[in-house]
Amino acid sequence: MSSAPSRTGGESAEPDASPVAAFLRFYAPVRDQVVAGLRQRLGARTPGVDPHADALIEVLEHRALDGGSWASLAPLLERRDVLFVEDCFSRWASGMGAFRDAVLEHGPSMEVVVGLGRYTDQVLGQLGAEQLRRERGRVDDSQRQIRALVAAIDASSDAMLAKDLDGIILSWNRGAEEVYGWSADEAVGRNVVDLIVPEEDRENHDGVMASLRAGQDVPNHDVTRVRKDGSLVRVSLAVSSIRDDEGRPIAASATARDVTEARRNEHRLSAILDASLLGIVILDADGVIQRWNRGATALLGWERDQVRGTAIRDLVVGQTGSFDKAWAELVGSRRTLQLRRADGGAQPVELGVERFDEHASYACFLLDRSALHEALDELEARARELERSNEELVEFAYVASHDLQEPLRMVASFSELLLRRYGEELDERGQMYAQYAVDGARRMQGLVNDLLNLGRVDSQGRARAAVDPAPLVRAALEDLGPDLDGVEVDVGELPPVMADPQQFTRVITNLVDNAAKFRSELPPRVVIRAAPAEGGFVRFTIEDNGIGIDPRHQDRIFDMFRRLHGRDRYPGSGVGLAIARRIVHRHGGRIWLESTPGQGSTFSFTIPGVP
Amino acid sequence: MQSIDVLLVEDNPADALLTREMLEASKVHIDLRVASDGAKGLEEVDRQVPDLVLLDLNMPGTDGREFLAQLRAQEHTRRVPVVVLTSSTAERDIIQSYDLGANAYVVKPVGFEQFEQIVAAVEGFWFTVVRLPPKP
Repeated sequence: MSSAPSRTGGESAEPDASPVAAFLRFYAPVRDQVVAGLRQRLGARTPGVDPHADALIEVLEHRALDGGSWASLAPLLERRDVLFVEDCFSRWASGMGAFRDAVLEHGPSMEVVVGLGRYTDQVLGQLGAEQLRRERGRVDDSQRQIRALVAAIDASSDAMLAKDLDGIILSWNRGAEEVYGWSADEAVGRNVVDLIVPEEDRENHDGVMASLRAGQDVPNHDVTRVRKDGSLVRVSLAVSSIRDDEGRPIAASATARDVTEARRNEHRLSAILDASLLGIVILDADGVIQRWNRGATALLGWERDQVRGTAIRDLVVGQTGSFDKAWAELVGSRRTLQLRRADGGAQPVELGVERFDEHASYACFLLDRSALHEALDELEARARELERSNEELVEFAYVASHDLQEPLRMVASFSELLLRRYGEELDERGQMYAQYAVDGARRMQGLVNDLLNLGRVDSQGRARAAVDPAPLVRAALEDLGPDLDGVEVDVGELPPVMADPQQFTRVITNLVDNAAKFRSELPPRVVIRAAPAEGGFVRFTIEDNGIGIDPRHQDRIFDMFRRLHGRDRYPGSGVGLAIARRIVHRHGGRIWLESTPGQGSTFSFTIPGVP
Repeated sequence: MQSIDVLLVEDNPADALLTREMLEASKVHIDLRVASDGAKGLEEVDRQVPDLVLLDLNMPGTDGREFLAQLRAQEHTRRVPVVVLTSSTAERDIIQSYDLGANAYVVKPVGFEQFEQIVAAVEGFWFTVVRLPPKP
């Protein structure tokens, strides 16, 4: 081996005369033998070894012909893209040190060639291992990328899976585990049809697979899938084919997003929209109708399919020229517009516009102005009617009082005149009759007056003002004068109220009169208190130590002409509390009673305080 | 004998009778003329301007309000004292009557006692202000 001419061999201008030529002649059969041996060893598992062996031969020829260094072989090896299956080399990777060094030092020579006869497979292995190491470096890079990719795929909450064209699952990410409930271990190797495609979707799925085999991608569409626990999940699915270098479909990747919740929300939104009596229209950023609820259909007659995709401005009657400007002003406010109806008419509509979501779409709320107007008109008509009937009532009360009083006065006056003028000519019984007639007529007149007073609570009420109740209460007590004879009246601090002073005084008068009237055996005592109550009201209490009122009668005591006792014992027409109640109600307050028979009564009422 | 010329304008004969009965019980000499509506009342005024008018408000035809308005519109009758005597207790009638120039507003009394008090008040006016002598 020491006589190896390797360093000069490649420099010969005449190949035939060079040792290279000899080498080639010598080598050719060796090569065949080498290749045959390789085939035998690797054949079944590495059918592509031929080009690799060819590569080596080419390398050697190149080296021999050009006399280049081994180092220059590297690009060549790369060019041929030599790649060996790992386990082919693991067996040959050892024990190459010395020979490799010889080859590297001396280049191909006769000795090398002879050596090759024994070591071709080792050389191949060594070279292959070198190559593989390089490849691995490359693979490491790409593996890092792949690992990142896989991590990204795994981190995705979308289900991502690869399947072959028969539907056998090749890969299954964590998103798929979450969406479908099956782990990757359980899923890979099984057919998607058996695993997650429900009975009713199989036909559709077959169609998808057919499309994939035909090389067509399947765009986003919603399908139902079965989870491991048997529950159904609605997913938005996109499937695309994976192709080989020649573009033939060999597999498919499927990405699925769980849209169960989104679709449920969608349905809820639709249900809410449709349940609304308002017309609600959702527009995109360009004002094009996306959604159209039943309320809008009811209002304008357009079915949703007729208007979906139409710009709202095309529905506005008139003023389209200035609509864009008007539209900008409309957002966040409301205004009345005329919208085109399906029957060709114009519908007055109160339109409110709000930003709907971050996609710059809008929600329009349509209120039927005509219905609103009708309702308002009706309300107004009713109010007028009520007012008129109230006026009639007041008029009636006035006329009735006048017309009822006339004959009453006649009866009372002439009975009395009769009694005076001719009383002496009547016997005792006759005088009694006349006296009854006078009494009856007077009492009747009292009732008519009370009725009139009750009517005047509404007809002659004055404006409310902030008033100090203290002087009004004093006036009421003075008013009652002799009726309060012997009654101890205790008045506390009284906060100011918003009231018609005259009517307020009347309430106090009537309640104190009532309290003083129904005395028990105890020395009569009336306690008047007031304190702020909830809602800005002031609560007044008038407490007595009188006979009290049976609970059975408590709720009726405020009724008109309600008397619980004979008038011999407790005079009065029974209208005082009715008037008090009407006045309190007119002020927006309420009046009630707490009482225990034999222990006295407490009347309470509320009246607005001064804000 | 000095007497007071009183014109009662009243459509209701029963009321007129009642008023006459009451005035007859008065301690003052009263000559009572009765007109049954405002128009007739104005005729009586034209014939002779009375010392006092007792005026009902609600009457058919020319009512008490028109009568009062016309009485106050004529120079020679504008100072005649007028007492409105009516069964109405309505605030608007009271206010309107005084606005039109009534000197007093008296609700027709139900009982005799009330009437007697009114008459006594009227008497007091004539005795103390006009200084008429009482009936013998």
